[in-house]
Amino acid sequence: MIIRIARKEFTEMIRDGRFRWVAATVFMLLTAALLAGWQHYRRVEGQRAAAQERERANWLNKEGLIPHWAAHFGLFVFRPASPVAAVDNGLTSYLGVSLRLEAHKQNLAQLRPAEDATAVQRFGELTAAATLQVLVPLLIIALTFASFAGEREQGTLRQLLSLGIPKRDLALGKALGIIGPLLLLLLPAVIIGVLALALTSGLPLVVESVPRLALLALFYLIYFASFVGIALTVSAQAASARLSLTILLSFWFLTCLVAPRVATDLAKWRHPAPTALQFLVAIEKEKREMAERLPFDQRQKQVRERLMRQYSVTRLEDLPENPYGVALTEGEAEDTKLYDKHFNSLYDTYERQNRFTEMGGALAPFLAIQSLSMGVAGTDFAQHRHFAEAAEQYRRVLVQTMNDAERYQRKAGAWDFNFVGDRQLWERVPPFTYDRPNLVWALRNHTLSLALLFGWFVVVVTLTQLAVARVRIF
Amino acid sequence: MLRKVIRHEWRLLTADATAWLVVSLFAVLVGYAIYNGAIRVREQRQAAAEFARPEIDRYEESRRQAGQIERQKVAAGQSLAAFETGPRHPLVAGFSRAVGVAMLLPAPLGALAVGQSDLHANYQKVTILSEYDLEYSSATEPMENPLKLLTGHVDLAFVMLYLYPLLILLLSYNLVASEKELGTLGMALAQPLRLRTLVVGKILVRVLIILLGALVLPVIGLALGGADLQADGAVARLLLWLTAVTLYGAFWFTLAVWVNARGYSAAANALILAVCWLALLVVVPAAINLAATTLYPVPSRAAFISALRQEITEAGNLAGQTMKAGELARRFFAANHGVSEDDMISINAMYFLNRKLADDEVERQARPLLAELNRQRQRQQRLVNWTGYLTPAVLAQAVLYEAAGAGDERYQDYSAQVAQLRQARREFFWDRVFRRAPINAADYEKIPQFHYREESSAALWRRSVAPLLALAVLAAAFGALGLRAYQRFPIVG
Repeated sequence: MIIRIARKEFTEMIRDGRFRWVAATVFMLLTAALLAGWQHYRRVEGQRAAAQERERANWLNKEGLIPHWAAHFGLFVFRPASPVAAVDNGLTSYLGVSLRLEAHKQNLAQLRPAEDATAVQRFGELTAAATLQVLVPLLIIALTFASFAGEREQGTLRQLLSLGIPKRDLALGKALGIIGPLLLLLLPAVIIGVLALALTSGLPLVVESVPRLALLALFYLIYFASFVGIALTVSAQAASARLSLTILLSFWFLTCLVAPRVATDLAKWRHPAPTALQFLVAIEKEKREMAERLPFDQRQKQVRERLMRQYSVTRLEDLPENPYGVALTEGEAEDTKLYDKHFNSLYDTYERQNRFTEMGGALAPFLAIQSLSMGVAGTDFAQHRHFAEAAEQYRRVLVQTMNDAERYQRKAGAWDFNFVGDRQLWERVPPFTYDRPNLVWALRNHTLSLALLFGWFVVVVTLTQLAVARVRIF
Repeated sequence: MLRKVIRHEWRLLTADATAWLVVSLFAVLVGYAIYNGAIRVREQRQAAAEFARPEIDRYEESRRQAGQIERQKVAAGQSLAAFETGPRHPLVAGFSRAVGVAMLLPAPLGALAVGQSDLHANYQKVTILSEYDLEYSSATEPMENPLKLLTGHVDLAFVMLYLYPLLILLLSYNLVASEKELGTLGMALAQPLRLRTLVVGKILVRVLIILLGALVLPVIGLALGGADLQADGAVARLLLWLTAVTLYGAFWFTLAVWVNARGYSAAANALILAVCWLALLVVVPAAINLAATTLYPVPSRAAFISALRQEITEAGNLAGQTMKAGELARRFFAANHGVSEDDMISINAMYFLNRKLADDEVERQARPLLAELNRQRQRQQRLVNWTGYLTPAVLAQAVLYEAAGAGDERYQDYSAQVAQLRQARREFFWDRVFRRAPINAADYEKIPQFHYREESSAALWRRSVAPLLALAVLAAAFGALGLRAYQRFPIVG
């Protein structure tokens, strides 16, 4: 019986000219977004890989620098994108792509792609994820709002129920009848996406991406099913089809357009983050205090005396390590501690804000799927932080290698103007490599959203059963 | 008759609980948006003041010290022409003691829209170094949780672009449709009343209510929020904003009239108008953005940075990075600028000269790279400008951002002024370095400083004429079509 009902709904929908139009539009948007996203990923990733290689060459090619100045010259690293970003671009446009690594200080990633785009981007990006998160629910609403209310108005609902069809079967049949055409619409798009991925990239990327894509498909299906349930519930209980549509459209508008803005506003208010200037000024202030407590000259002098005592030598040139290098190393350790404190506090604040926003998923399922989808696609804040922290570890290696050269290779005593670094020294710093965190790591950051998404599904299924059991017949 | 219709319709609407609910919700959001904006503007001004204070203090302190040194020198009978490292040294002054602070403060109506202002670096220090000197570049990008940047802000521009049309459609999707369904329309038209008069009357009442909310509330909110409406250009900007809001509203009203005039049921009207709203506000703008970024992709900044760094590495190798003259400096001296190596060493300027020559070299090489980047951006902008005529939302956004000073043009204008200042300061200080002339206390006054010149209101209006005109034409077209269609409106059946 369920199948028969589903088939009837399915046929009705497929034969509806309006559905065909809307479906074709959504399908086109989805495919265009996927292909454009994929092309964008390939272009940007290609440019990034080339840029990273070129930057490595820059590091190796510089001449005539003493090692510590080389550490000041530093190195830029560029954030690699995950291929699944083609589906969900997430925060990518609003995260800096380049991170400067240098001596004495940590930097925030700079140069957000959004800075190079026009103001139209503020209407939102057309990505596969946006289509699935915002437009498909609207399609579901348009397909479902009249499913009970409309039949009631036409008088067919009474007839139908007089046949003795269990209401549960009726609800399930109608739900399947909506999800069916939807799948018909989404599957080809998914297949096109996977094919594009498989045809153009190597095996490792495919292996990395396929489980993520499968998981995304599952999450979106649950999200859609929740929307179908909500729409069926409202349709079963609303006094008229018109009221049902009004309620559902309002719900859509509030969850998809208003909730994200308000939730992030509240998150900011609940967990205030410093402005760029406050952040920089606070760091500068502490650095100044540190420098006043122990100016570098003073530090060098202290180190010199300590080392001479330690090695029991009376002449500076007899020291086996250079006090300048030792002083740099010790200063760097203090700088690192200072920056770690500020950067971790900033990142923690952002993560607290994001978790607060995620909690809004209890009221607006959009927030739950948005956060989960970004997480799986590797375009969320947690994974950006993961990259920034990996880069920071690499910065320490770089600076340490240069300071070690000042410490062990530069002769103690009178300043040797001829001691400069060479390619051999630069090569001692390994090339920067970055491994993206795996799927489990990515998901662990979004357990709240995961729970909320499933919670919505369970609640909605229960509600739908209740609502349909007591469906208004007149 | 029109007055009777209006009075009757007014009674109907004020008795309708939903209308009240929707209008008050709108009013609350307008208030929230303006409050948000006022706080943002205040924070930005505070931050700017904090940013500038240490530099201003340092400048004053250095000028005072320079005066002191001069007095001591005079007392000791020494020449004032000689100088040592300190506030009178042009390099020291230019690099750290008298740094220029270039800030882009919110425009007079900045509280109305965040726009792109949460992305652009709007505070920077201008030293004697080139903007391509990455090591000391100090442009401070605004910092914001990226999730907030993605979702966007609840500012008045958002309320006007998204909610205001929704409010219009909600109150206007059912002008006479249900009266027709109920059969009362025929009764009403049996009186000496023309259908057009009835429709116009109904629309006028709604226009009155909504425009009151959309035009008057924000002005009151602005005044309460402490915006300075007496500031230069504030009134012209406000007029621009109100014109855009009026014409944008007119478009949605006339669209509603036209759809209403087709004679469908109220539910069908609602669905059609909802689809229009979705298409014009969500789908088309996103599609335009996708087209712009796909057709004219801006080269990745990673590519730009690594290319720039290559130039920096090569120029640095050529310049040498020591206190001695490198290859570039030797060429510079040989070209006979009236400056010798000994001159530069005698005033401790060799390191910075090497650096400057390297920077000049980098600038020459990097300019085409940056030009290519900007060319793509301009192409994107041109595409957006043309395809923007597909939806009133993009047209209105452009004008609203313009009026609030939150668009790209104002930022580009600011960047150009910063570049000019940088050029002027570099010339000022290097000229003194080459002449081996000190910066006396009196010279501190002559150091070029940043005074942001706001664009003229005429320029804003000039850029906004085309989109405003397009909005007006669209509104007029739908209005005329709608009123004509009402002539053939099936009153029954």
